[in-house]
Amino acid sequence: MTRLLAALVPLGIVGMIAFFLFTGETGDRMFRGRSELGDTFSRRAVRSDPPNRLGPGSRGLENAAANTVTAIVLDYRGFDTLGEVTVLFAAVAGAGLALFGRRRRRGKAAPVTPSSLILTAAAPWVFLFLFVVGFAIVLHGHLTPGGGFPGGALLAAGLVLLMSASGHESSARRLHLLEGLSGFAFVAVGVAGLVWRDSFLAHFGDAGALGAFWSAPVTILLYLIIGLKVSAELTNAVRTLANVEDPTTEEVP
Amino acid sequence: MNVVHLVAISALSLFGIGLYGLWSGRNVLRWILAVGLMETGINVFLVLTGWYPGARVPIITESFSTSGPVPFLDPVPSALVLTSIVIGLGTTTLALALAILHARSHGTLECEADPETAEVLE
Repeated sequence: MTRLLAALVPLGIVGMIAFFLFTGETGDRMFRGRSELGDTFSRRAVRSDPPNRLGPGSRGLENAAANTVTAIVLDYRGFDTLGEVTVLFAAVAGAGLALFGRRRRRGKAAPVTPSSLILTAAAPWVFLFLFVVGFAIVLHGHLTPGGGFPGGALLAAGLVLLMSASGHESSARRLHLLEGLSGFAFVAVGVAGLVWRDSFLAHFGDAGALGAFWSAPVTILLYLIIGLKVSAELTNAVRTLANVEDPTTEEVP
Repeated sequence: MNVVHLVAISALSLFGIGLYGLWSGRNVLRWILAVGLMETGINVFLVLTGWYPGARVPIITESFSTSGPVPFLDPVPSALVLTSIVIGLGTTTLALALAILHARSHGTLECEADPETAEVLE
């Protein structure tokens, strides 16, 4: 009876949400067009008048990234992305603090299972593949879907795979160094925009032709920094969570 | 009723399954998984709100021409969802750490409703 109730209450809530979303005025407006803001972003006409010609090979645009979402995330809303990366850092650091804030006083380290032959034999090749694909995704963030966040996740997957295959964990100091340096580099690029252009994180330098690989150089740089930071962050998170002593095997005092 | 409504219903169903996971049971890991499901459902729905009939992926490719209005879906929700996914990852990491803390102090991942009867190891 309680199980039925537990199933019925979410069903009712979802049904109510669906009713309010798909009927009446909201339902009429849903899936009916694009916001004015999104249109301005798509035309690259936020800071200046819309360009005469927008398409592959256009020059002199205010943002030359072919991917509009990337243009928003790293240019129009770049400061927000800095905050987002900071939140990721804070969450991983908070997890580490919650688990290892007090030194380990009791309990033993989690038992290490030796890695199997399949894992140790395949890991370097899969790692190579993941690294190449990961960096390709990171470096093509301004042209294709993807960019620093998914690419960084792939790089982290390669690092974690290598960690679990070789049995020895990657050095925490190096990971922290990479995290700190990439965070600093992000702010440094922002300050460079302040120096050479009018505002923090403004894109400096020649934007290049839209659609070419060497277009939007600051976007490439920022996504490379984000990819490195995210990979270090995720590897660190996995390392933190994997290092905990096993609480279930602990004897009750 | 077309494909987009089907996707919207799937997104809402994911949200509902997550809600059910929160509602039933007292396992902390189940709660974390349920919140992850709800997040996924909300993200899918947010991306979907930018869609309209005939909309294309907001990337300027070879076949693109500016005659007439830009045929892109609204890129703003997509950019917001990119942020939301990353924040979701951060909260999941933190929640897992807190679950480990709970397991350490209580010896179990189950949560007791009544704090009077809950057993604390330390």
